[in-house]
Amino acid sequence: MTEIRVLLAGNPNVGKTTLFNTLCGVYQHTGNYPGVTVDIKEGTRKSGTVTLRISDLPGTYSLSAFTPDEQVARDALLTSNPDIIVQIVDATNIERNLFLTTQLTEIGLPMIIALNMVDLAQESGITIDAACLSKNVGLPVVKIVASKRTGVDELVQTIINEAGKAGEKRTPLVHYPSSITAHLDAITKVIQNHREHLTNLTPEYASIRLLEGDQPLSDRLHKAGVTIPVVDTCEPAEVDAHIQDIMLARYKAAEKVTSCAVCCSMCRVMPTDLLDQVLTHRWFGIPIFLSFMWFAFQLTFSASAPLASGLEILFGGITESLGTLGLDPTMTSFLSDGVIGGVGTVFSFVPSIFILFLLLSLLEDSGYLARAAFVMDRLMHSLGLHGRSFIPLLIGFGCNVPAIMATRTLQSRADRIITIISIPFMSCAARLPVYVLLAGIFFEAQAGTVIFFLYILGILTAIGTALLFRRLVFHDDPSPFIMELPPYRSPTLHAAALHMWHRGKEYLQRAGIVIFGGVIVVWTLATLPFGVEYGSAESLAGTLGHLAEPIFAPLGFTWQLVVGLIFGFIAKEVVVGSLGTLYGGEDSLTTTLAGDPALGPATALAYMVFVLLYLPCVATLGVIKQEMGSWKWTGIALGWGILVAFVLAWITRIVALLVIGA
Amino acid sequence: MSITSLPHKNLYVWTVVLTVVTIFGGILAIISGIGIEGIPVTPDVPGGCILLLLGALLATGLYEGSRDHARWVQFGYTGIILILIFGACSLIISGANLLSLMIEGEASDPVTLISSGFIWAALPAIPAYPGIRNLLFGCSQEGEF
Repeated sequence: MTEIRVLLAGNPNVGKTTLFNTLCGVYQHTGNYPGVTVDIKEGTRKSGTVTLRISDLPGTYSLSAFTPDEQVARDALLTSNPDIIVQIVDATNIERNLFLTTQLTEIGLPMIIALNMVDLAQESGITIDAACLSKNVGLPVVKIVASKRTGVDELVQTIINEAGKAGEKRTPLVHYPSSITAHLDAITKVIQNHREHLTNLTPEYASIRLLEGDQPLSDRLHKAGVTIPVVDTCEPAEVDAHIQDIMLARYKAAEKVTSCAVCCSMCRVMPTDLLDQVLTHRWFGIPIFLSFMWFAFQLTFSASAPLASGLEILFGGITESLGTLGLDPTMTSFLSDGVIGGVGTVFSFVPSIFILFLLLSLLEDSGYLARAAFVMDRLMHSLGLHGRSFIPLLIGFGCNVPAIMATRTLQSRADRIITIISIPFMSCAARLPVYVLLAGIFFEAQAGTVIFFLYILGILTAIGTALLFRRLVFHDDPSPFIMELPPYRSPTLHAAALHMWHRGKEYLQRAGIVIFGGVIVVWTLATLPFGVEYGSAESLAGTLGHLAEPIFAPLGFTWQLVVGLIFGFIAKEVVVGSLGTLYGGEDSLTTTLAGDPALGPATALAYMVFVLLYLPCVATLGVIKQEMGSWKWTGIALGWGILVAFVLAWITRIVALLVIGA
Repeated sequence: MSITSLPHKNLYVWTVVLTVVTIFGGILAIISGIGIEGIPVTPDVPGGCILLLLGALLATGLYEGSRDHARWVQFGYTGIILILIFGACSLIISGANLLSLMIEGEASDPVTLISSGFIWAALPAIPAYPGIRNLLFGCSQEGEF
């Protein structure tokens, strides 16, 4: 059995992960915006006796990496010594993509160009002569449509054929000016005697990298006592001039290749460009985005309501039938109050979460999400947050964990820290059941609007946090925002449903393990010590709640609500699970909460605001520590969240008492 | 071809009608939402504001379209597509609410399905969509109308 190591490389948002999923038959999240993949994903594909071990790299525009995700891609390409590189090129934007090709070919490894989205290129009036392109770049070119699996088998066969051709001399694609080639020759002459310090790079390519200012490579050679000609004697202005000459030569090469292989027959203005002038309009852009979000939450609440009602009726029926089975009273209490009351209650909100994921997938796949980042950039930039931060913030609506990992697309460390501290204020799907439950009980017809405003409050708090930290801690300006807007694509229900299912499945798995564990602990605390009434103030849960209750007295939270908050730290889903367990009884949680005299709209609103803003869950905290690499910043994120939650929940309650009464 | 020649003239006039209906629907939804009774539109203050936004979008297209035809098509197409998307969402929301009431055994009125301001606006938007879509794609190919 032969094994071939394949790296999938390319610019952001050209369909690398879509091809990876197609090749490996797996599911990795894809989206119609740059920066979805921030670390390397591994998979395999078998073809006869050959196994392809495929790595999907984060997108990068060049090998001069600026952001952490680009560094990951660059390091894999330069140091992992794969058998072959497959560069995925967006057929609708060949020239820009070929700039990376000019760099990848210099590495000297076998390489293939997979020309993706040829169907869209054709629709746009772009005709590509693949044979001519192949001849010009000196690489095999395979036309594919990764999303439709077109051309994928041919690509696999080409990979197998080309992987064995390592070491074949290739005609250089880029012709550098004589001033540059003279420098390159001088550097190559010296460093070819020190190959052991060049990792896997050829001396020729290492020379180019040194002239471009590759600091780690230069440091390695200096450590070995090597004096690098030109580089060591250059003034900074000369280095810049060299970099400029090299880039210019690469752009010229890309342009030359494109001009004779690609023909734009219609020269049309794309409808995408025309629509963007309205959807990213300086006055209409933000209101249109807010309208989409408002409808998304109205749909989340309303469309899921019939299913949620059905599940509630089902779980109610099971609870009733448990009572007739004649089981041990403790077992009956465990099953009805603990399992059904806790896990069952959370499960009845699963339709809301699935619908929210479906809507977010539709927005992502259509390409609108990238526009949302663009329209928010002006506002966010003026408030001290990088416009690109908005995409991680929006991903936070699904789950804060991938959102924090998505900050790897940000270049400056200050931007990353500020965005990471702000992300926990974005309301993840796990908090949705709390809103659906309480808003449904206390705000009825206005529930969707209340949920919308909670999400807006989360966004505003995140932006306010960014502003504060930018002004008080990081005094530099956010780095400029440059993002390639992807074309609009009609989202298919199949792809959106697949995204929804995979994200929802993760939620269900968490629900099955974390929530079940959480509600067992809460049920045990509500049962012990033996002899006290279940869930009473005398139980351990009651004692715990009463201990912490004075802290939350200004917010009007009952001890049951306090216990829910304490266990919500494990995972936010446990808040509703805990309430379901503690308020366990014959009636449904909705009926019990509606009938609790200690609860009213003002307290419910304050509770929802507190749940929205307080401590991130354990998993999020772990990722914050991992990405920040500092306990200090993790502690700041934690403390800031609690402080903001308490203050804003208190203000909300005061205002709500004045406006809508208790 | 200019907006004064058929069929663009008809489409332009129809966009005027659509703009008026959208703004009117938005105002009624807001008035109904603040508690004034006897208005045949579902009370919905935020929804009313969105309808006013869409009306403003269409009105901007009409205003700028008198000087720059491409602007009319851009704003008109975007406004119409948003009205249709939001109209469909509104229909799903009303349908789901109706279904919930039926499941819970409460009184439900099927008329609420079509009493949203978005449905009012979506009805005249449906016949306008094919025309404006053709204009947009024609515009993108030829660079003019």
